[in-house]
Amino acid sequence: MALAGLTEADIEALGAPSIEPEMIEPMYRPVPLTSRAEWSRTMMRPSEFRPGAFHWLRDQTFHRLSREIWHRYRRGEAPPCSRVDISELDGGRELELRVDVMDGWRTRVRLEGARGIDLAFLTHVGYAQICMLFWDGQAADFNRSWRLAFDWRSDIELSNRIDDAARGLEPRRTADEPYYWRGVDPAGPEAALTTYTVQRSDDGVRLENVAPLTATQQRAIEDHIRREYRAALVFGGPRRVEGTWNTFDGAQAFAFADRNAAEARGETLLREWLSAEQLAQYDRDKHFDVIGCHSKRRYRICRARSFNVLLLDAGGEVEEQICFVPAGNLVLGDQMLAQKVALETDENAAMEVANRQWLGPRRGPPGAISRLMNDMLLNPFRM
Amino acid sequence: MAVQIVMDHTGDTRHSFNPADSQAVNDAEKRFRELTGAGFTAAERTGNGEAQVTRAFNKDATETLFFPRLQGG
Repeated sequence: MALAGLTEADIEALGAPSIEPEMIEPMYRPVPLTSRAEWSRTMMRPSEFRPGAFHWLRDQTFHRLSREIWHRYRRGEAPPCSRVDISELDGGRELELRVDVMDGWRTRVRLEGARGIDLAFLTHVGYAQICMLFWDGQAADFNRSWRLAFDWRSDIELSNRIDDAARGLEPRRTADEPYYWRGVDPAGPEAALTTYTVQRSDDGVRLENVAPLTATQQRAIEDHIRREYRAALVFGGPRRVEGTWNTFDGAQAFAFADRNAAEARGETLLREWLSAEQLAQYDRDKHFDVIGCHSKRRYRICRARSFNVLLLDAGGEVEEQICFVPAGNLVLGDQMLAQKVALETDENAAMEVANRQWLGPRRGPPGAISRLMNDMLLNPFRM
Repeated sequence: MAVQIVMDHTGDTRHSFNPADSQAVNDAEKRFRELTGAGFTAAERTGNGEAQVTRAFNKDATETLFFPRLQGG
């Protein structure tokens, strides 16, 4: 069947197969483009980029940054990368990379062009800069929130994947954790494993061996084809694009598109249900307070995934850190709204299932004395 | 128009119905029973930022929110 949404005009816009790759504006002027791996290893000064290369570079950087951030922060808990801009500075001797992340986060990196810049380096620097922001306390609230969810193994996986990408290899998998995320696909886990084959022939693009696709999946495939097909033209490679939904790229692409839309809807719903005071507080501080219906105590719901509910004492100090969430890995806005409604309407039921961690002043005697007293009371023969 | 808002993977799904339409009310009540039977909590919006948990279907509720069963995180 013909791929919905991708017309002949779109294909022509990508460049007809009869056109030689050199006529479609190669990314760099003097470098022979023989393979993608070679391209990614090539170091060029920004002034040597062709016009138009920046757009392609930006798209690629956006794609790779998004992927790395997404996977780095455990899929779905990531702050999605919303925008990447690359601009030339100082007469082409420097590049500036600007990355916007959801929640209004943004970072700006200036790259010296003296020794040249390549895509892998650009991606890595941008990503590292974002990590530094998270970790160096330049945004304390966000830093605190994400510290809880951090897993050092992700860093090892990340460096593996960056190495793999630089060598043009398929990303490695961990034994227990596939890269695709099944939970996002509304069509169910089977659709995420669908194999598709796309072939360009004289009568257009054909899509074979597919299960019914959602609109988001179709968009993701179209994007994938555009990207890969154009790359194939530029690099003179085979004009055939194929893949499976269980490869990281494809699954990630539609997961991201879906998740971003879902996060936005969840955020809208949350804002609709907050009171005026709570909304003002949320806009200002990224958290809001609710009063428990039974205890009449004050809880603070923070913008984070886990242990994001804080029980405050009369002085406003944090006494306990509490975690309860609605089942089903909902988006963050939904989770926060469910927590608000639960605390305001059925506090005891929520506390029954919650995990709680005491953060207030130490209760009882210090550990050594406590152990001594326990020994005396419970095991007098030891004395 | 009344609306039932069900939290799900897409953010939420909204089902609007006319309280004066008996067929639509029946469908809404059936949906209410199915969701609460599956462990969803139903909460009606009562005022500015206020809500009330409800165990029975109320066709006059303007907005009813359904969220899945809570669990320890």
